[in-house]
Amino acid sequence: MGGYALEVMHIRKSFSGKLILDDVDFKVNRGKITSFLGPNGAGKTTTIRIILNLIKQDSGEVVILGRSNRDKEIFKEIGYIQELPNLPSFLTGRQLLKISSRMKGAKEEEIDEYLKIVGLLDHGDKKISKYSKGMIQRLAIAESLIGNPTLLVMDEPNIGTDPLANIFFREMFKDIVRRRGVTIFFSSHDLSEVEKISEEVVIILKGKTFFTGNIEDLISKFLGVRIEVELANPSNEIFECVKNIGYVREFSSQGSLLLVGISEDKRWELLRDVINCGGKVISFKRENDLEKAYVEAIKRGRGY
Amino acid sequence: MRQLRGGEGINKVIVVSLYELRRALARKKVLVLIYLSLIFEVAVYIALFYVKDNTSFREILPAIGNILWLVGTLLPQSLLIHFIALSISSGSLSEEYEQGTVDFFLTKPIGRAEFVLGKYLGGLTLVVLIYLLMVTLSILLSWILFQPQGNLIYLPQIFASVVISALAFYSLGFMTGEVFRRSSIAYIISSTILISSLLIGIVLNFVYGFTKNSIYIMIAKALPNWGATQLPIFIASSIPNSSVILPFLEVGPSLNGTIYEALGYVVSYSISFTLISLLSFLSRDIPKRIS
Repeated sequence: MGGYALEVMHIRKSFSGKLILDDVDFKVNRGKITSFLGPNGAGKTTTIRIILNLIKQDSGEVVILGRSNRDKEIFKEIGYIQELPNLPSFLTGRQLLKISSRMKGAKEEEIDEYLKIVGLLDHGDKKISKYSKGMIQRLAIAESLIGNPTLLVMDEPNIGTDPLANIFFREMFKDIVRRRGVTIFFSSHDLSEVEKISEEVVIILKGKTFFTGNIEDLISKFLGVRIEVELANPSNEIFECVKNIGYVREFSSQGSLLLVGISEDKRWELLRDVINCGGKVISFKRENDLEKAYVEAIKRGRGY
Repeated sequence: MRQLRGGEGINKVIVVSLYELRRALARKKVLVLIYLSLIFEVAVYIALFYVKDNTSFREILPAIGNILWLVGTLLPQSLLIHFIALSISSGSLSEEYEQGTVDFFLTKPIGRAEFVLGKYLGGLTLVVLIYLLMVTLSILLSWILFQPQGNLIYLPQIFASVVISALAFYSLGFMTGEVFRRSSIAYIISSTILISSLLIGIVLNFVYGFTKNSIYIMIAKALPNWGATQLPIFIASSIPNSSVILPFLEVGPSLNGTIYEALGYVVSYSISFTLISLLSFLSRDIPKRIS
C-alpha cells in the first residue's frame, strides 16, 4: 500500500478578491499520521475544506487515494472530524451513527461497537443536545470511524477534554494506523500533541506550503542538530574543553546539562570527545523540541 | 452498476428527507404553527356550530351542509398553509449553515443535488402531512357537528391543488434560505413577499376599479400569491353550491382567471425559485458555521 493518501496540488483560492491560498502543494503518505500546522489565518481550515470539496478552489487539484475529491464515492473512504463538531442536536447519538452508516453503505450492526469504542454505549439513545462537549467529541470520533475509512481528516480536534481521554484517543488513532494502515491528516495548534502522535508535518504560511517532511527534518532544518548531554561530574574544566572542540558550533550549559550544536555527522564523535574531556555521561540525546523548531520556522518564514 | 448507483442515490435522498422531516418537527416555530393551525381548524367549526340556529345560516344550511368540509379544507390555503410552508422551508438549508451541520452530510458520499432534493422533499412531506391532518380534521368535525359530508370525490383534486399551490411559497422560502443563509432573514423576506403581494393585489384591483386599465389586473395576477391562492378555489368552484361558501374563504381580491393561468403562475414561480436554490447550492462554497 504505497503511494499517497492525499495529494494537494497547486491550490489557489481567493475570497472577495483577497488571495487566501497561493500555491498550496503537498502530499500525504499512506499509513502515516501527518499534522498540518500553521499560524492562525494561514489557511489551514480553508485547505481542509477544499480537500473535502466544501469549498471549490480557483485552480489546482486535490486527489484522494488516487481519485479526484470531486468524485463523491471517494467519501466512503473518508472520515472527518470538525473542530468543535457541529452535530444535529435533535438526534440521538445512535440515530446520527445510523444516518452516517446509511450514507456510507456501512453495516448498521456495527454502531454499538463504535459507541462502545468511544465509551458512549450507555448514552446512545440520549439526544445530542444533552451531551457534554467531551461526549460530542467522542461521538464525532465514532462517527468518523463508520465504514472503516482509509483516510481520517481532522480539523483541530481537541481530542477529548480531559488528559485521560487524550491519551486513550491518541493510542486508539496510533493503533488504527498501525493495524489497518489508515492515514490521518489533522490540523492542530497543540504542538505537544503533534509531537506525540505524528511522524510527518506540513506547514503552511501566508497561504503557501512552507515545509513538508518528518519532524526530525523540521528540527534539523530550523534548529540544526543539538545534542543534550547530561553529566554525572559537571565542572568548568569539562565545559571549557567541550566548548573548545573544533566542530562545536553552539554551546550552553545549565547545571549538569550541556546543549551542544554540531553538524549531523559529528554526533558520535562528540560523545567520544566529551568522554575524552573527562565527562561521565549519564544521557546523550538529540534535542527534540518541535515547538522551538516550529517557532523558528515561522519566524524565518515571516522574514524576522 | 448504474442501476445500483441510482438505487443508492434514491436511498440517500430518502435518508436526507427523513432527517429533514425530523429536523423540521424539532423546531419550536414549526410546532407552534402546527398547533395554531389545528386550533384554528377546530375553532372555525365550533364557531359555525354555534351559529347553526341563526335564521340566515339555517336557510343556507340545506344547500351547503354536506360540503362544509370545504371550509376547513380551503380556509388554510388562503394564507396559513403558505406561512407553514415558508416557515418550514426557509430554515431548511439556512439552519444547516447556522448550526454548521451541513458539513456532516456533505462530507459523506452524497452529491449536493441529492442533498438539496432530499431536503426539499423532506420539508414538503411535512407540509403535506400537516395539510392532511387539517383536512382530516375538517371532514371529521363537519361530519360530527353537522351532517354526513358529500362531494368528497372532489377532495383528491382539491388536496392536490392546495399542495401544488403551497409549492410557490415553499420554494420561495427554500430559495431565500439558501441565498441569504440566515433563517430569520429568509423567513422575514419570504413572509413579507407573501403579505405584500396580497396587499399589492388588493390595491391593484382597487386601482383597476377606477381606471379599468387591464394592465393592473395582469400585474395582480402575476404576483406570487394569486395563482397560489386561486388554483384550489377555481377547482372547488365546480362543486355544486360551493359558490355560497367560496367568497368567504378568499383573503385576496377575487380576480377572473382560469385554472391554467393559476397553475402556470404557481408552476413558474415554483420552478424558478427551486432552480435558483439548486444553482446557488451547487455553485457556492459551504462556509464554516455561520452563527
